[in-house]
Amino acid sequence: MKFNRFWAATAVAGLLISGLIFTGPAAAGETTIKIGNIIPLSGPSASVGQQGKNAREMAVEEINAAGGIKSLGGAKLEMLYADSESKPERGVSEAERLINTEKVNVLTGCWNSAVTYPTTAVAERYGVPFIVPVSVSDKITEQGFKNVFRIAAKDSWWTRDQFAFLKDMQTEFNTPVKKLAFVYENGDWGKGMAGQWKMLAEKDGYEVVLDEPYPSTATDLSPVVQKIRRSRADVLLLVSNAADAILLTNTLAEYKVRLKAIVATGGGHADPFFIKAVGKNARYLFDIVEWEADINKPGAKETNAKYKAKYGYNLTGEAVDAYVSMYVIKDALERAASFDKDAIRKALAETNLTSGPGMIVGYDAVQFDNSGQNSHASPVIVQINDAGNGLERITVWPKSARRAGYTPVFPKP
Amino acid sequence: MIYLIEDTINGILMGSIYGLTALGLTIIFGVLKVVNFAHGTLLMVSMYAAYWTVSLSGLHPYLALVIVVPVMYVFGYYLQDIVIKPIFKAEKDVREPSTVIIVTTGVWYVLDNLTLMVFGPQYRSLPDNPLQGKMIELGEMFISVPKLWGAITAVATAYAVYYFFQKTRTGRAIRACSLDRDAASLSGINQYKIYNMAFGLGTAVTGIAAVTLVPFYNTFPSVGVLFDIKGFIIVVLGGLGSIPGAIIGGIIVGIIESVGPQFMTATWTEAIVYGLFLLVLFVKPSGLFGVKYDW
Amino acid sequence: MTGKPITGTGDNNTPYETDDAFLDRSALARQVVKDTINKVLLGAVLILVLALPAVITSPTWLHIIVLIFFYAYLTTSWNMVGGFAGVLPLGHAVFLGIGAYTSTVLSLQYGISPWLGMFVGGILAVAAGMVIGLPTLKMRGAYFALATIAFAEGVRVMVENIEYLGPFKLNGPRGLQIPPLNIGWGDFMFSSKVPYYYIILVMLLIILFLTWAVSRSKLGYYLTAGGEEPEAAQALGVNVSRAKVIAMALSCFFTALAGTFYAQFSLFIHPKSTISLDISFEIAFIALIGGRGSIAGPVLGALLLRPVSDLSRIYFGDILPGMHLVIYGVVLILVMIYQPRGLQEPLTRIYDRVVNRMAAGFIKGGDK
Repeated sequence: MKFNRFWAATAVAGLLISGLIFTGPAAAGETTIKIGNIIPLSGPSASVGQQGKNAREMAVEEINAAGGIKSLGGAKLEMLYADSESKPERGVSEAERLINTEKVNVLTGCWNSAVTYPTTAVAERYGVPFIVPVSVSDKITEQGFKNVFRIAAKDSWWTRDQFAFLKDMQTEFNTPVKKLAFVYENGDWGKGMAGQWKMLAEKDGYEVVLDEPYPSTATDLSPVVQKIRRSRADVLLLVSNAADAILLTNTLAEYKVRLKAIVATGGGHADPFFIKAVGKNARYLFDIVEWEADINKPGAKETNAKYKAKYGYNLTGEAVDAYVSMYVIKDALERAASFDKDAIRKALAETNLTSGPGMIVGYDAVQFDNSGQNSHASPVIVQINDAGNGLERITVWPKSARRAGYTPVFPKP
Repeated sequence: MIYLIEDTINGILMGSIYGLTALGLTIIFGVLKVVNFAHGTLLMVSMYAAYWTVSLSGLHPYLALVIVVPVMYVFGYYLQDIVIKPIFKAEKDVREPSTVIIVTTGVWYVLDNLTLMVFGPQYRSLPDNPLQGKMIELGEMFISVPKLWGAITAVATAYAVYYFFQKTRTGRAIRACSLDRDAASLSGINQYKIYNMAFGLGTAVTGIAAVTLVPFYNTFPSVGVLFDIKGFIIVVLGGLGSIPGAIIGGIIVGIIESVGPQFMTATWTEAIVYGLFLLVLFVKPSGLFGVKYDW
Repeated sequence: MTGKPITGTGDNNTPYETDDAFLDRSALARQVVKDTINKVLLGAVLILVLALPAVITSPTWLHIIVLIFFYAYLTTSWNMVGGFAGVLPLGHAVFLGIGAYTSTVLSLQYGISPWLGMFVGGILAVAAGMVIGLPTLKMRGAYFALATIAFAEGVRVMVENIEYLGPFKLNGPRGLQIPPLNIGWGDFMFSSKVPYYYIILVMLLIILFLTWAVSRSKLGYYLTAGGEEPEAAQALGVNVSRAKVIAMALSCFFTALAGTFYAQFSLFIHPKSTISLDISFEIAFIALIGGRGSIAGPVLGALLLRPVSDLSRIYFGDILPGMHLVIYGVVLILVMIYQPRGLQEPLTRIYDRVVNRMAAGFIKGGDK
């Protein structure tokens, strides 16, 4: 009896597995360029992975609808997604598979720096060009790799801009800031940013009254918030993932922590659901991002509206980096006019993208320096406030990019 | 000094809620003698149930109890009946079938990821509920109202469960079954039905915990994992199977997490919690309130 | 399942054959033929795995197979304590992590070859294993499982908090990256998958042989006795706890060796992925799905479970995120419900039946 049941179960499992093997994505013809994308689609970073996937998807649809890669006879881009689950081991396996079995021409990914390091190393070994839309750790483009190109600014630039912003705010509003508190997730990203902050704070003569990493799996952040409150800091600098960003913002409001400003570092604070989840508690928060929906760039509004209609929320800086990546790849392919990965790599290295639907970013061009870093990448700083249409993210810095007619609120009332 | 009092109060409140999240785990262990690795996942499912009840109806979060508790009872009852019972039947002669750990972990993977597929990876919270952000201010001191309510609910629930097991007929039958399976079934108690009920009860209590959490916490597919390991630690600290132990264990963890960061960075308090856990395990493996018989 | 004859013939019942073999000439002949078949098949499998990289040239598949062998090795090491000693350790990734970190730190900072660091890591892992094992090994079921989880998680949290442990750079949550500079056998680093394949294959064969040797030794006997009936075994004068401690030490040592392999294979280690509960759990899953306490179980488990996880992720990862873990979970539940002792039992039975048929066939053929 039982034995028969076992066989039934085995047969079902066997069918499932063989089904998996044989019904895989159909082999593509010669006329497609395969782009492998390794991003977290399940697990704790699934939210941000999904946004990156949506943005890539939209860009590729546009590119293909507009006739694909013309120099390759209208070849279409074919997207392959692999779930990293935010685990380096999975990322490496998937990179191996995408390169060797799927024969992808280009790779992109991986959002989590911890996945990006070993995965880019795999790409480097096989000489496959690897575009990193976002993974901000400096180290990624400092590994001496020839095949790694990063669109986003690196963390030393983010911190540099955060401190420049602080300085500008003090002069503009004539409010001195002396004491800083650093609170960040205890991971590659948070630690990297905090290390830079410490150096900059010393250089600019601030007093650091709190330097506190916290586990982003924390279920209660009121102890951390108490420390912030008691430190009597003027400005709080944050690096947070999604769940902890929401929790921190709410708890800071509950304890009525008095600060002149809170400056966050994207991530959880830039999540499209962040404002919805915390409501008015997000008010006056400053956040540094790569891109904002109110940016003064032709096409930006339309692209955002299209994205929002499609997926139900605004483009985020991270999504835009993914979107731009696709156009950078398209541009390189047009110039390379070849499927060969060396030719594509060479074309990518010579990128100087200044126009086209992808250039909705705040800076004027995408160009890679010798390390593969996009040398024009520059973040902007936004403030969350209600300017008459409910809470939204309003670009305030650099001043040249500030939304017309908006005066930032500093210090926080 | 005032800081210390404030932190201790927060620790006790938050800790009681941790205790409540772990209470279901200890109830299930007490009767079935297995560790339910799907516990965090059941909390996650309960939080979605509570979230949707509150956000669709606009009720006061605590009124969601009326819906969430029975729903979760039924959910737990049938989860045990359909998925876990076959293991007990197959491994009749094993006292603590470790296969149950694998099966409940399987349930964890399935439910977490089904939730991801159905509701997406978004973080959901209830920003405009009447408890959100409410604080009692005593001079310099702050006490969180939703946490206070959570703590009161935790203690009340623990008392109610304790009373149920000690004084009611059904409760006694369940306890009898947990003490001696064979004797219980000889005296006409249907062992498997008792297991279903205990599992349902544990899940329903987890539903109560979820209701106390949603007013101030986020709901997302992998939220259960955050409470999983914490729950294990709490129930072993307090004594596996002990109801007051779960609450006390929770409070101990809560106080360490709340007071500890004033002397070190918050990341080290985690290590302290694990260290204390191991220490208790080495010195008194039955936990603070556990019965020696059980280990 | 237990003791139920599958077919009416009863001639595949081993005790019957061994007892009566001397009386029955044809049974004796069949036994000889069966032994030969077993040996031939074993040899064939060995030749097959040795020649595999010549057949499978795709690095993707080789990568997947290396990981299968890696998990088979890990689970076999785990099996020494988790299978034979009858406890359920759920934190073995901590020993993997100790091995990985030790050899990596030694090679990055002092230029010591990972081949040597590997054994230093093994010894450290034994020390760590004793810290957790000595007080907890005598505990039953749930307590031991939870204690090992807490120990592993505690160590992970510590590593995440420590940038420098004395002179050793652990680099906290950021982990350590091994730059692929010195390629070659001395540095345990290769650009091709093939050397990794042979290294893990040899490691797997060694650990399988060791497990076989242990299971036949007095230690193995003590362990099995202690796992099943600890009180009775104790009463018979078997020092159960000592046997368990030895098993734990062996298990920790060999798990740590795999840590070095892991570090050299992925060239990146960080606390969240190396000392992760996921790895600890996966080891236990493989063991229980395959059949804990048997020699073939861990290998079978890895052969069955790893492809389920890899293939379902490959095919569903992008269409339906999360689907692959649902499938994985469903497989775990189904196997545990229908085969709570693991798949090793029914598979062995099928194998036996096939060999019997073959033996019968050979003998008939020989008579003509």
